[in-house]
Amino acid sequence: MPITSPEKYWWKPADKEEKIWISIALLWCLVLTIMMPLMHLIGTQNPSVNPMKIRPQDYRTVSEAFIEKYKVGEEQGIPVVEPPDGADVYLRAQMWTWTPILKLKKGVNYKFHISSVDLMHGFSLMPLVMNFQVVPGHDNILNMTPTSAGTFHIICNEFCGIGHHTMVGKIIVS
Amino acid sequence: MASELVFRTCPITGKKVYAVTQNLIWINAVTAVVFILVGGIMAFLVGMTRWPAVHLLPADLFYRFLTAHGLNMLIFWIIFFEIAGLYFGSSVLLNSRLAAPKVAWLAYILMLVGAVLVDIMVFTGKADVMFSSYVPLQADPKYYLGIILFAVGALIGCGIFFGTLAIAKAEKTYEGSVPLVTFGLAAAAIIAVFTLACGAIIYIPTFLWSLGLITNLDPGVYRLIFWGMGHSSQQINVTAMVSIWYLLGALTVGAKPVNEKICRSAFFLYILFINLASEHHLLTDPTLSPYHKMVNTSYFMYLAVLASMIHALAIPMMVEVAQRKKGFTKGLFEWLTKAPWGEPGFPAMIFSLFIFGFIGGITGVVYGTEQLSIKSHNTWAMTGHFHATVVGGTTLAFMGLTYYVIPLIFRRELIGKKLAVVQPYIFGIGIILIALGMGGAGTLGSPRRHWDITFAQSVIPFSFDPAVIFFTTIAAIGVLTAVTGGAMYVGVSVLSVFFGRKMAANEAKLL
Amino acid sequence: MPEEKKISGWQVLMDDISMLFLLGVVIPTVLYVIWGVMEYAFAPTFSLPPGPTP
Repeated sequence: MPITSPEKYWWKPADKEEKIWISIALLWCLVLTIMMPLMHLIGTQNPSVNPMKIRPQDYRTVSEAFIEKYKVGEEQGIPVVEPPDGADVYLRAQMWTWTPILKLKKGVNYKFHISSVDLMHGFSLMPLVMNFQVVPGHDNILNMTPTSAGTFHIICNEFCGIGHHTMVGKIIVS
Repeated sequence: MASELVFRTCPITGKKVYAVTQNLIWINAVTAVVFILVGGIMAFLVGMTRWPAVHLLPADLFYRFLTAHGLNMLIFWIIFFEIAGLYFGSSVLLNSRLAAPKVAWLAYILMLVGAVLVDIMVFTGKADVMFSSYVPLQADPKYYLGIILFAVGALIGCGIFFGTLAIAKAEKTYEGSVPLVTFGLAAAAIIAVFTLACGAIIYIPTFLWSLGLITNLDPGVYRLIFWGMGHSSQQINVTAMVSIWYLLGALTVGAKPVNEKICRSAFFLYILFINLASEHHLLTDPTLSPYHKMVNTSYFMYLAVLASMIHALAIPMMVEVAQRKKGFTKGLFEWLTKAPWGEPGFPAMIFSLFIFGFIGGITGVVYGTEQLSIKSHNTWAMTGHFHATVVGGTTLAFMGLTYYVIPLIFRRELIGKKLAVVQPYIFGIGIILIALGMGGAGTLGSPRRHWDITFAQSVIPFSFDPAVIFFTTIAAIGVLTAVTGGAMYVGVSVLSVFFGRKMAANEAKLL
Repeated sequence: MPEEKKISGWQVLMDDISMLFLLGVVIPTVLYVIWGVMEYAFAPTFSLPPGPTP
């Protein structure tokens, strides 16, 4: 019984059925393990690989400079920014906006720097459902290439206070 | 000290049940049920708010009650019940007196004071920070203090467990190795020590930070160590739950492990590697390297997943062997069809195994892959995953066990046996609907911890694929079903514990 | 009573709760906590170029 002590020598060989099951499971575990480094080599969608800390006030300064430099308009008080091809793009999360609205080109690679100047936020690109944690003090650096044109939205999926559910941003790809 | 040595002999199992142990199991288990009641009411309110057709609470109360739901369920209900389980697994199963019962009472009081303090802070709106309380979102210092008190109490509870193991060994109350269930609970207690140590490492500086004594607390490091506690506490649940599956197998069909080596090796792998899975929360975080992510998220080459796969074979196998020995040998599945489906423990165990393994386990391994985490991180699918593991798995197993603990340990006859029999079915079906509804909506991008998925108040308008509303409705129906099942559980267990007929000393009746 | 044979080393290890305790605490502490904290501690910090902000 599992509630009484086992016999004196319980380290005994497993049966054939048990061995088959465990071997298959172990093989599957090894396949799963190999897939992760493999996707870093052959895959195109990986989390950030560039470590970088950035003070929230520094991030604010850099992202403000980025907005000022490439601003092309304004929509409901939020700046609209069109960076040149291959530029560093700063997407700032703060309670409860994603600043700025970005205008990007299809097929062009951009180096995204996503960070927060206040609390934790969650970057969730819709309708593609791609999610990244946005941590104040850390720069989430991601190389992204839009592969289709259209309007994309960014919603916040990490609790960031009472207005969390109103935090929506926008990326327009042409 | 003689009062500490008073015991009775269980007429069913022949185990010595010490009076002090019995009282401690009683108080911890009853307290656990009080917290599941609080958490369950929150579940109903939060679930009905997420459903756009009802949208019950205003935003501030929604976030407040969601915080309360997480803490009362994930921490208070489960850890109080587990502490009761640890005292049972050490003192009762080993026929041993409990180490330092007075200290065990102190542990209980610390946990209770901590839990009540946390609940007061949350319900008075001084800690609208969610279960994870990510820095730099700040709560009242008393909130962090409450968590620390609770964790210290639970840590002392684990110490009592290890102390009792040592006493039992020294006083030779058992021969050879400890029983498998005790071994599994020892694995859970070891995992708990790492968990609670992480809690102390992160909550003490956070407490000082909330008092203004520390200024710079890195939010990334906070997340790292917080999840060393937050996720590992769910690994305590997994390990305790698997131990309880073995226990329920024994209590319902008299099953015994087919190969002790296999079962214990699987628990051994849990001890070594399962806590690395805390990394699952950090896969889309900046700064941490892919090496740290891959080594940890894979539980070191998925060896802890291998352990779960081993239990997934060993438990149905021991049930089948026991049933076949009873003569249910017709065809491939007579052992299963003739199983005691009309007894609460058996369907609770099978539902728990199925929901944990096939819904919670598979989604967990998929979402916990570095690249696939991009598709699921912080979505409602994640909420679906851990409702399948923690609620469908752990909570359901604990519920099933409760119906045996009441007659075995508390010596009361169950009131409402018919309700107890259908309860695991209702609760199990509810959780399956919740997990699938949340999983479907989350896969389409519906976020977790979100008051309004219609985005009615956003400056930039946005709306989801209408299928999200459909899946949310499925989850809401699941909430109503599971809350009904949960209420039946609380009703049956509370009525039985307080008003059930007291059983005679030699009465060997289980259900 | 059958003749005394040696108990397997694995069985001895798994009966040794304090050794299991040590392994169970040390492995995640080293691989998860210490390694992780070191990565955070040694990650480079972005610094603004000197002079007036652009």
